[in-house]
Amino acid sequence: MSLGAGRTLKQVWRDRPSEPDPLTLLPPNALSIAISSDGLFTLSEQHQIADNIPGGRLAIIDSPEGA
Amino acid sequence: MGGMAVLEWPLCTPPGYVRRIIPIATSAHHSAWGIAWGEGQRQSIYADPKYADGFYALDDPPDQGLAAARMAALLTYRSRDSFESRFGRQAQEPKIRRSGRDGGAGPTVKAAEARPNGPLSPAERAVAAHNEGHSNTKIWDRISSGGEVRLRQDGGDGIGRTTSTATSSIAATATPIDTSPGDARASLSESGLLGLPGAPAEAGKPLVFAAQNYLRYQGDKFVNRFDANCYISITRQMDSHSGPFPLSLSSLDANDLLTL
Repeated sequence: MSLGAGRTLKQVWRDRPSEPDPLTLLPPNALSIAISSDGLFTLSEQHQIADNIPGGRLAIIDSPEGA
Repeated sequence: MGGMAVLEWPLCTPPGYVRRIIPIATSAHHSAWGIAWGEGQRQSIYADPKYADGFYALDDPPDQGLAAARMAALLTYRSRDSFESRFGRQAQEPKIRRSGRDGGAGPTVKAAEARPNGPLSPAERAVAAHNEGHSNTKIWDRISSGGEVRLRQDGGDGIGRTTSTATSSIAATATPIDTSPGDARASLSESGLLGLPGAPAEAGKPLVFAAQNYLRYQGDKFVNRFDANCYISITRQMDSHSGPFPLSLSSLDANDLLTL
């Protein structure tokens, strides 16, 4: 919904920029932390974050407990 | 959810406002798996008759649905092996589970209501066993309050739906008693609910597993501090989390005056 001549929320969503990968715009040198047995936010997803944030690192907590 | 916000805030605030982030157990976009878990949890809430399209009374909210949603969510916070090592096939004594907010003290049965009123019939026992763990079944009224539950025969199909017929006259004959939760459980035993045929009990053991009780406890506790509509809204917000992240301020221009 919009007021005046602006775009609607739907239009803003549709027009949102796809480049660059927003992960590359995040504060650099972030430390991502993953739990090895996390079944909802999986280890591969934590790799994706750490690999794409400039200078990002990943710490893996090896635990069978999930997260 | 918190981890998602960690990833989105730096892009929704002036550059440099967020200087460091530590994303923990989150994702750049919510996976199909995560979306599906959220959908199942929302459907649990929708299925509660008290949900009423979200226009429920604040003092009588869809706690059963919200508790069920919480139980599902808890499973995603743990793992198969975690449950196995923590609970295994450990069995526990059943407790009466009641829905609703109990003055902030949780939905455990009000011990003072525990008052067995004679032995249950075989049909009542079967209904009670079938509904073990159901927090709002009418059969608990029969067991815990001394009220009477009459089984209605529907077309001769044997066990009909239960109808609570606790009346004022019955209530008038019920003398208040001071009982402990242990007494409430004792009334369960006396009513024959332990070791019922067909119950998932191992020989000589009570019929509720520790893993079940853990979920029930967590679900029932959750409803005292969370709102069903908020739960629906937040899980849906998680669904919308995706890279490219939506609606960062840089994607808007001066002509965009948005209302949500």
